[in-house]
Amino acid sequence: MSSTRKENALMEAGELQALMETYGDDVWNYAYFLSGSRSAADDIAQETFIRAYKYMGGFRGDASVKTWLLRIARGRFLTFRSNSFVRRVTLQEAPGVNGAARSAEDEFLQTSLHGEVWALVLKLPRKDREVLMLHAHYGLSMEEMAGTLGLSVPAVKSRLQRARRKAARCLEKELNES
Amino acid sequence: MSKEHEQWEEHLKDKPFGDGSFTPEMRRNVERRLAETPRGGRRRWRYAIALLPLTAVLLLAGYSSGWFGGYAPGPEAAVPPAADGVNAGGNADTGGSTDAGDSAGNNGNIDGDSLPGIGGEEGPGTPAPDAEPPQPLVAFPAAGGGKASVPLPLTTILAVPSLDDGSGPATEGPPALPEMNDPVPAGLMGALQAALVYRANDGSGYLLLAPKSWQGSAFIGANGSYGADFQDPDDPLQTLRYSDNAWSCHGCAVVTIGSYYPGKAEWAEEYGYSFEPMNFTSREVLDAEQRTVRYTLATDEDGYVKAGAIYYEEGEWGYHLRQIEVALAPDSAQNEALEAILDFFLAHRGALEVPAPADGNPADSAEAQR
Repeated sequence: MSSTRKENALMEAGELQALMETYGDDVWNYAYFLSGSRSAADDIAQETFIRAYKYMGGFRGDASVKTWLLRIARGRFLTFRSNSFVRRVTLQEAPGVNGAARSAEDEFLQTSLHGEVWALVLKLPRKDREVLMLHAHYGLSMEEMAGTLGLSVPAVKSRLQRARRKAARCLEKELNES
Repeated sequence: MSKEHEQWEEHLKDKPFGDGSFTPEMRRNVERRLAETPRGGRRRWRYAIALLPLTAVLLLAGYSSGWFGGYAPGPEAAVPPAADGVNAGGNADTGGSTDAGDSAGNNGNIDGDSLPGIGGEEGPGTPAPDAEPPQPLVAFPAAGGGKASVPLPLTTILAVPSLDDGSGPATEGPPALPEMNDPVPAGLMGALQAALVYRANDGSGYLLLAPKSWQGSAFIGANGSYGADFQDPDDPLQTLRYSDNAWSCHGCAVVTIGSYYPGKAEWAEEYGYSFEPMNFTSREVLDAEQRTVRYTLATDEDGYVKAGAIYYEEGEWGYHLRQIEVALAPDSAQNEALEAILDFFLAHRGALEVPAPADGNPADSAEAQR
């Protein structure tokens, strides 16, 4: 009986394919906004689904599948970032805003990013753009964000308010300059 | 300020990039890497096998040098080899293996290739040939439209009539499933299983949704009534029961209708039956004919809440009742799955009936149903 239960707890191949089809873009976009790098987002997103496949048995349904995947993606990003070489060489605090020369990453953003508001969010510090994205794009509740970010609900609210203020200032500055 | 942020946050609901950021190539990479990586269990066995000789050497050295305890028999106390051999043989005889055939009979998996709507492709997690076959899947359309499907693991349960004396015909396998049309929220993938109960006597069956990993069993009563029970192995008080009276037990049907249907209590009492009123916290009649009711009962003494749905038909030979009821802990992880389970029941006014194969070949029943 125990082996049957263990088999049930594992994700089936078809489930994995459906999971990648349904949530692949969401996970990749989150990974990109965390890492600011396409290649890092590629790796993090793939690692996320590999871990989801391996640890599906640990998914108890107390969060939605999307929230669960975003939590795994965040964990993969933190592991990725803890590699000092990656931190120093690959990842940027805010893609497309540092450095004078236009990189391939900048070109990608210019051609692929939809809307000025997303460009503005990308200019915010990582913590701020993450909380804004989780709330406004993924529609996570305060409790879900707290679970994902490993913070208390009041701390999440405070971080969200701070991010909104920064985004509003940034938007105002952009409007004045234009 | 608040209006301003509401305005620009609206733009963040759109995707930052177009579709396809997570490319098909990345999907294939994931599948390839999973196919290359042995599962954790197999890796642990390899470590265990590698460490076995080392453990044996340490144990031998420990016992021969007297490290382990005060009693270390010397050469003069050695047991003769013949006596040792007899002892080893006796132990081998008592260590019996389990009969896989028996356990597979009541809850066996079926061949996914024979069922339409069941994924038959070998995926990244395809186990080695000597491993257990993967559980078949049934594809349900994803709620909210779109092309995505929600694959749910399929469990098959054999139902044996309680009066079966072994003389009747026996079915060889479960019937084939039709294509599934009931949408299931993608978020419930991993929370649900599709359970196909099939009858040993005629090969027909019925399909239900149940929380994933709950253990199921089925029954067919002496009067023809039938049903299935599921239980959460981690919390046995969390249960699901499906029952169909198959037009039997007129008195039981009258009492049940009187108990669950608004305005039917007096009608049932006219038959001479008396019953305690149910303690509903919600009860809703879902159709104009007043045949379908969805309900929730007050928390029981163990703190569990029962929610369910019931449907009945009336005929010249009595009443046909079908009911599903799920008992869950208040903070249960299965609360979201409950809605999909009850919706499936309500859509089919019971379980989804799957007819027996026309000529004994399970694959034919799907064709017959179309």
